[in-house]
Amino acid sequence: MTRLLALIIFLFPLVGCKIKDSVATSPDGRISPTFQGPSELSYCSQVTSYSNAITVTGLAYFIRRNPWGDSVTGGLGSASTSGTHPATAHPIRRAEIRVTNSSGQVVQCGETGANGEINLSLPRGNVSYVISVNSRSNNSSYLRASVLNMPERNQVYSLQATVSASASIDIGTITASADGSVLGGAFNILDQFFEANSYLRSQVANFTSAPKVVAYWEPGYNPNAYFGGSSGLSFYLPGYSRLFILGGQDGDLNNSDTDHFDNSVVLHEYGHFLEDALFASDSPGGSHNGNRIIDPRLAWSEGWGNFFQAAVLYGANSTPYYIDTIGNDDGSLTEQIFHTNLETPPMSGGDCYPTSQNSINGDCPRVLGEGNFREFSVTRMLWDMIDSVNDSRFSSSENLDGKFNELWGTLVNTSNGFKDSKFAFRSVGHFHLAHAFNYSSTDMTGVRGVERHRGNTTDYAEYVTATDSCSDFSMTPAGSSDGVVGDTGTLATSDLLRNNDFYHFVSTGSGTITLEYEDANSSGTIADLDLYIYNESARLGVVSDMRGYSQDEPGANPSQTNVETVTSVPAGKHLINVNVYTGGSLGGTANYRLKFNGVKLCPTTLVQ
Amino acid sequence: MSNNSRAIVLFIFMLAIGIATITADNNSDSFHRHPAQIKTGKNWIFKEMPNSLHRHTQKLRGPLEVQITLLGSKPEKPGDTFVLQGTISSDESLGNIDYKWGLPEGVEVVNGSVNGSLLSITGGQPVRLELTLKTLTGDNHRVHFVAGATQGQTRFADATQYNTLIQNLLDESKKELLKSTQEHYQEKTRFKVFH
Repeated sequence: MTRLLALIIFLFPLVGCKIKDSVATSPDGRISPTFQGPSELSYCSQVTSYSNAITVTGLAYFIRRNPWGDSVTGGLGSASTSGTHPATAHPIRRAEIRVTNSSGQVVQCGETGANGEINLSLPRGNVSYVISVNSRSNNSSYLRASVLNMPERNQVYSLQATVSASASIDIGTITASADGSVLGGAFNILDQFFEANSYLRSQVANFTSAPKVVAYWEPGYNPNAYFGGSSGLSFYLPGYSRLFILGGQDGDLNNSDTDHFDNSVVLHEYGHFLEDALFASDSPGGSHNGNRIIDPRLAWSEGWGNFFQAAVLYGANSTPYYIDTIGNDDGSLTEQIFHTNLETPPMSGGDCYPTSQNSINGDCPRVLGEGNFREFSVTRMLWDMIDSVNDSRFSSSENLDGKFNELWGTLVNTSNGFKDSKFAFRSVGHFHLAHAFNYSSTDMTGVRGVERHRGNTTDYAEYVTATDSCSDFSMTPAGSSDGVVGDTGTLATSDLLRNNDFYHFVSTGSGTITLEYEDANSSGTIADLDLYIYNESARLGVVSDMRGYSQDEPGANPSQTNVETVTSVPAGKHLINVNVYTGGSLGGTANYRLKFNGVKLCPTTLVQ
Repeated sequence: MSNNSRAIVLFIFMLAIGIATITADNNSDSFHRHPAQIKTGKNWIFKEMPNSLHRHTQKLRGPLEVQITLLGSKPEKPGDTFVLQGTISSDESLGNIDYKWGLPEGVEVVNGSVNGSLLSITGGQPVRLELTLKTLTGDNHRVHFVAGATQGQTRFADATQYNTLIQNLLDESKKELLKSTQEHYQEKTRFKVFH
């Protein structure tokens, strides 16, 4: 009866109703970062020969504002190529050229050269043509990328010149400026992608160009608006090959956070694209400050992005930085969102030494395994693999110079490499595991040691199978006296290294996962362990990513076995999290075991 | 087809849709999967967890965050004074924070400092600074506020902007876009279920 009533209620309003045929749009026509807008204008690649032709030559350049300063003061320089913090002119390399007549018909296609050269053949006549150098490239030998305004429009930026076709002509240098319409911003983003691909070609055998990526950027626009936010945001959208680069704030470019000239940010986001498109990323995304223990998947992904921008921007003999600016010299204020040395952390007694546990100064790990949970520690480890400068933490040579090829080979390898489908919940532990397996002659002990990296997945996403042949695990709760900072009892603030264990488990059928634990020393103050089973997304603490959880409290009897049970766990990859509840008293060490359908889960080799 | 036939066909069609809808509702777990088993008691520990619509990266930021709030009424005509409050917050305690207001032409300071420093800030305890300004034109002005700090070899800062006349409109526009993003996300999610 209830269903019949529901049916009538459903049918009644359908009479005369109009089916919604469009989604809501914001006032500026934006809909969503994943929106599939009109197709991008077809790429102009067909070169036409003319019997009676003129030749048009010239150069296409863009102006780039440059960051200035140090760790105390700094910002983004002027749009002028002279003065205190001058801008610099750079060739627009390998960009599409489209020549149209007065009717808008395409009469010639081309591509700028390695030094921004324009060299076109056009039909002679007493007519004018518009030469457009566009902010995209589709040359599989160099670069495949487009810089467009927004997903809802997919329009390219153009640097244009008009020529008369009565005689051959040298148009000189046409320049995309860094102020006004800030066309230089679009071409700088494109040029950073070019640099990234050039770097990879120089380091990786047989690399030609990365798959196509689209960067969406609009002067004065903050893409964080898609998420209702107002703080400046550039981001990469996994699975879509789309970057969104910060163009300013509500129309302002000179006093707000912008990223189109912040090459660290542009290349960092391109690094995220590379991991998504060419190897693998399991990062849950989210905010990160470079000053605390974070989800090791996030630490790996962000550490990789920081490293990659440094690898492209700084030579192996240089000191690498990450620099992100606010405003510029032409506004009323300029600052640095972030400026840090990526090679050498603050030191004390020959060790990375933070001023406090969560200090942003170095993101220093203090105990073994903690480096796997800190993004700058990941960055420094990767940098040490490629640089030729031994930082002061090494008493002797790192013995690791120019290993980018090994690094890349580890990442893209689908057999016992980072990209292997057996891997899941990937972090730097997986990288170490795969690198050691594939490049066993390279000794990473020293590099891992100074960063307190665990060379495997013991501390995060250890691979377990139901073999029933192992000893119990152990968990000793940690509090502030053990170095835990900022734990308010929530999962968001829980110390992921000290108060959590994580296991990667694959079940071929549905079943029950059980956590059994006992007081290790019969003290009567056992830790309160809880069990969380996550799906492959595994955003920690996000209930919709949980297959199930169990949060019973331990019993008062020290000799009893406490049990947490999650039933009806479906087949698939799971991240099992054993978490110490820190909302009450911490308790003492617990010995525990995990079981699937009654069979004990035990560590198993992931690479073999 | 007669009108009666059309009416019958239409009714059957509607009925089919209705039944499908009820069935889909009964199977709503396929739209919103719930955990296999939930035991309650400590659910408060889930709070503070972000749950973004789209998984996406975020750029590196320091622990500082700044905001501007208008106290009182908007300056709508030349000579109107208005008060902006700059809020500096941090998720950790920090020392030696410097701040600066960026004022456009057409705005002058009536009371307060356009720059200064704080000896320290305690994590989770925002510091609020007020600046009284006067508009000389009655136009919309973009006012900026930035705060930064240095720890060892690292400099970090945050900045924000306030539009004196149209900030509400801009904020509403962002809410609309968020709503649009949410709707689009839900439609795509639903679309996936049927494949």
